[in-house]
Amino acid sequence: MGYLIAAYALVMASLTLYTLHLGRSRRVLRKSLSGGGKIDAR
Amino acid sequence: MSKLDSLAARAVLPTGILLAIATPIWLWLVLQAPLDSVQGVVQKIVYVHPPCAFAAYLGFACTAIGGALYLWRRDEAWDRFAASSAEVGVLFCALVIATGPLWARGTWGRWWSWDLRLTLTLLLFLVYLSYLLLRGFTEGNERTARFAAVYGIAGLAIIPLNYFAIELAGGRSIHPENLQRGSLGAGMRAPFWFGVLTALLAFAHLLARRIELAWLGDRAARDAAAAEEAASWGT
Repeated sequence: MGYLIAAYALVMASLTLYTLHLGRSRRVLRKSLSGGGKIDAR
Repeated sequence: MSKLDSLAARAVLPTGILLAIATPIWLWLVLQAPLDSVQGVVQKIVYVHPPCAFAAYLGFACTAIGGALYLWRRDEAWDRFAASSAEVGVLFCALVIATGPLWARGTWGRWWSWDLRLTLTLLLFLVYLSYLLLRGFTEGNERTARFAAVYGIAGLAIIPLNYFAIELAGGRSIHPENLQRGSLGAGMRAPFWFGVLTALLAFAHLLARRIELAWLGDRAARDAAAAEEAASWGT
């Protein structure tokens, strides 16, 4: 049972964290492009 | 914004809504699925492990298609599509490699075996991880995009080898055979195919988000370069 829960938890957690990461990066870039912050192009 | 970037930006919300609906249904189907008489509860990893593999295959196929279309049309949007597909594909491939040993430990009694299928999956992961490293360590210019496109297309050759690895091993493989018509027991087909659908929806949603982010990143880089050039003219 432990292996099953670990497998599903791993998949759900990884996909959720990646989604949150993409959302956060998008917000930062949008803010920078609208003049709300500086961005390092490199 | 190209048509492809615009399509990706518009796909984020509908794919996200569909994914939010599909995920709880899939988990409910998994809970309702009957237990395997030989492997027991650990066999339910079948509803997440192969679906992640299909999403990874799709990601790498999209990398090759995007690369080929970039070489043909020289449109940066296809390069962004290829790079984004590779990143999402690598994530799903990492999940295949992570969930596989959990299943193996529960059934074979060991985490890993240097079986042909497992080794080729690891190789596939490393090939496309190298693709991302290549892109990450070099300047984002046309030469990098061209080289990455060729590399992404060449890497695709591992997918059919990986898929048919069990047949190629000629019965010496420890990994179960590919699922065929009728190989899933009664009550197992619905959660399995719904798992595949959910994984492909997750892939589509993440890909759309990643393409949108890549477009924003390229735009920010262009703006910053233009500002730097203007400043150098001013001094």
